[in-house]
Amino acid sequence: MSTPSPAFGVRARAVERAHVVAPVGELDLLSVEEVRAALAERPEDCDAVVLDLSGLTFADTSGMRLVIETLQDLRQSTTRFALVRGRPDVQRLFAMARMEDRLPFFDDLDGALAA
Amino acid sequence: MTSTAPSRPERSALAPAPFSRAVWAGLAAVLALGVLEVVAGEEVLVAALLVLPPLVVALTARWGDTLLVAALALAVVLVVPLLGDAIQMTVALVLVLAGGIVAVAVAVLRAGTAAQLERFRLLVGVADAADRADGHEALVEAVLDLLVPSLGDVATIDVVLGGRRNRVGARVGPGVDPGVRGAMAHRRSLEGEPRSAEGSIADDVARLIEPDEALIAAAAQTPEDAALLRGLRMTTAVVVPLRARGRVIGALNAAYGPSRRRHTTGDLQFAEVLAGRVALALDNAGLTSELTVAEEQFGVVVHTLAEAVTMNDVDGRLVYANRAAVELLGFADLDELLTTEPVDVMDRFAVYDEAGHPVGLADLPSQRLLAGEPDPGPLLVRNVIRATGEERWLLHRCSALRDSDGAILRVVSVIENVTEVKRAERSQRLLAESSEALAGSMDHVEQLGALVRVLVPALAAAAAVDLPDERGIPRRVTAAGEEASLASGDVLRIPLWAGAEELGTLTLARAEPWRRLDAELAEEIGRRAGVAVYNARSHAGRTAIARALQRGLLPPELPEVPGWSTAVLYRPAGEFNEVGGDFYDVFEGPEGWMVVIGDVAGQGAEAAAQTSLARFTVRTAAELTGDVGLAVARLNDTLRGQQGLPLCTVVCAELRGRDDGAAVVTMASAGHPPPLLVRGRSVAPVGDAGTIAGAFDDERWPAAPVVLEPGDLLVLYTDGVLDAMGEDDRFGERRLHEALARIEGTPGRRLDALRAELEAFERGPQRDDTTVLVLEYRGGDQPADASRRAASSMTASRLQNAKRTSERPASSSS
Repeated sequence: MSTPSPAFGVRARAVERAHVVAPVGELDLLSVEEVRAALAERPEDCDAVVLDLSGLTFADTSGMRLVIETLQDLRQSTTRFALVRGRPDVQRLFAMARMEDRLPFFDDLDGALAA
Repeated sequence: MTSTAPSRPERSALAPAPFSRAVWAGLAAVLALGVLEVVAGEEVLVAALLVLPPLVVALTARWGDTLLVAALALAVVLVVPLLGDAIQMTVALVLVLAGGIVAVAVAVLRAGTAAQLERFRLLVGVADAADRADGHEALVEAVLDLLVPSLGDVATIDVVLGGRRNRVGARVGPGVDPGVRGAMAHRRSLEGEPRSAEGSIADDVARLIEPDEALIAAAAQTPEDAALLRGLRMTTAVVVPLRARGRVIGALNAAYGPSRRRHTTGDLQFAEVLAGRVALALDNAGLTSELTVAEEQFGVVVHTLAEAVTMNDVDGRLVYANRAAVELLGFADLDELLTTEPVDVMDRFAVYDEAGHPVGLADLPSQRLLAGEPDPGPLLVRNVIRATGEERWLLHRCSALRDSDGAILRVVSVIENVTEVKRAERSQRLLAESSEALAGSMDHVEQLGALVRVLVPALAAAAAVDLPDERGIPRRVTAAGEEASLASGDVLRIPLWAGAEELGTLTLARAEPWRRLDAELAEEIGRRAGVAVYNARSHAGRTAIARALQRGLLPPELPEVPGWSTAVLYRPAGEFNEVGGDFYDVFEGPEGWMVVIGDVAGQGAEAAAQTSLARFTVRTAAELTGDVGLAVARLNDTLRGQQGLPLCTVVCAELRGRDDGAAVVTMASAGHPPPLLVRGRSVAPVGDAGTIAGAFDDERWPAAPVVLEPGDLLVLYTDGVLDAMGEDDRFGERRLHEALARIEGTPGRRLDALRAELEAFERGPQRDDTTVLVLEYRGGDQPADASRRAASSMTASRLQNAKRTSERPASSSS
């Protein structure tokens, strides 16, 4: 468990009243905590949380677990949750788990913010 | 200034000594003339000559002695039978009588003049010395030159420095045992004794004393000194305060002994006058004026300083030591220290440098400075008190007080006791090395082996660790050093604590006794070793538990499934204590054989527990109902009831033979990679996946059938296969499909080949569990045993299955 994920990073920023978290690289068991922390940093009064998966080159069930966890957390609040679709490899994970239809996916950030 | 003296006849000590050779010569001359008179007969001239000896003696001898010679001459004139007439005899008698009177008068006059001259010489000498002496030490020596033997056979000068009396000079005259000088220089303090320098300094009174046995006994430092002082056979002594500018700066002391002379009250008075001059000269020479009031206060500060401060004179003799120095050097009081020779002080200790080489007196910086070394640096020594064996680390530093010409006047040494620092430093080093040794391995026996090698010989001559075995009997797991001393030396047993649990014992032994600090250090090391052993064991334990748990999750071998050949490839992620979440199972259901493959997200003990839960939930539900969709739904419900959002992908399949020789595999998949149907060289995903289990409440997983012809293979796998990391990318579906299309043979052979391909592809540590299950349908399947369809017998059946499973020998059956 000592090898860090190759070139992984997370960018969190505010766009209007949305908290946008954009991980870049491979999202797996090693890197998922960074994204979890970035999501947790959202302001109390933000309208929406957007997880932008477009920068990911890979995701495993750890990432999926984080997505579901976030979805269920926010379901109990007034904060909206939106996802920006990742590359086909990444989307395959959600497709395989039959999660694509169950999650608020958008093609791009504008769509995710506008919804 | 007042003076006291016992009532004694006025006889100046500065007058000639009694019974000098001149006296004896005079007496002899008188007797010789008497004999000559008898022999020569009527020679008048001879009797008249008897007038000469008293007159000659009077020129050098005391008046009493002159009188004696004159009296003898008179007696000779009267007694010797003269042949001449009465007139001649009367003339001779008158002549000798008159001559005698004149002689005695001359002697008396001359004696007084000589005494006055001597006194004058002394006063001039002091003034002269004050002018010429270079520094106060030379002045003291010059004054002593004057005092001995004029005013005493021995003399001393004391000066008050920093509130303390200091004997700055001592002198013995010719014919006195030189050892007396040391005895006087080092004499004990006579605080409270009026007949002493201390007494005169205290009450500013000059005294003429007769030193007695009591005084000698009180003053002598040693019995040898007492014998020396007693050997002086002192007659009288004058003890006079030295007074300058209205304050007493010291005392002057002169005593007669071997010369048998005695001081008179006149001598005492003269001594007071002389002392006044000496005091002024000393004061002007700066001996005492160096110490202003501020400096005296500074002296008090130094005296109470925690660091030991000593001062040596140019001869290397200790002239001052503060309280801390007296304590450090193990003396009862300052006087005892000051009166002990430096060599003898040094002898009380065994002194070594840092490398362990012996250090002698001459090696100390103060002595090297005195020997001419310009700037001896500080010296750190290990100092062992010979009497007690106590060990200290002392840092010697020194600096010289020099006069304006750069000549050394005094050497001031500061001796710092750095034992604590030194020990702390050593302790820290040992602790650091111990921790390093303990951290160097995950195996506790290796850890302890490294530890004892650190402790020997740095802390102990021998070290060993005993840990209880499975039956609780202590076993020596490691040892270092001379094992013999574990039995004979001073042995320290340190329990290895981990919390409240005693894991074992660290035994340390060495020849010298254990000091408190070392024992404390050993205990601290013991605590660290205990924690390290505990961690190593529990880490090993956790790994072992996790592995056992994991093995428990999986069937040891696949059971034989009628009509099918099966094989499994299972590669848990290899990292320490990180048991992944793959599981698989093959068991008999109510209507057919059931096959399960799954993957719980996460790693570690928690994932292992959830994996266990998932496997048995699916198995129980499938065995009871034979409904694969229901089994997955049951798993979902169970996972939803768990904390921490456990997610699980799973494929649950039921294998059933059909009457036409084909097989129907009914599958329910919860977000799992779709199984692959391998038919010849074609590879195709089959089945229809539902949502991952554990994500949402009240999900449904419809069952979808797949038909297999004999010779077809169904390959179930977890995403660890797809996600296996290669040089640039992941193994992926394409590589898997290609491999399965290419590889031929039995399920076991195919998996061996697939494993080889995976391992050839992989770079870096395997991050995820990898499981591949291959089911080859051979055909000729028989319907499942009807007796197992009854739900009531399911528990028994499961137990029976489990039992049968564990008895099966091979991992694949064909």
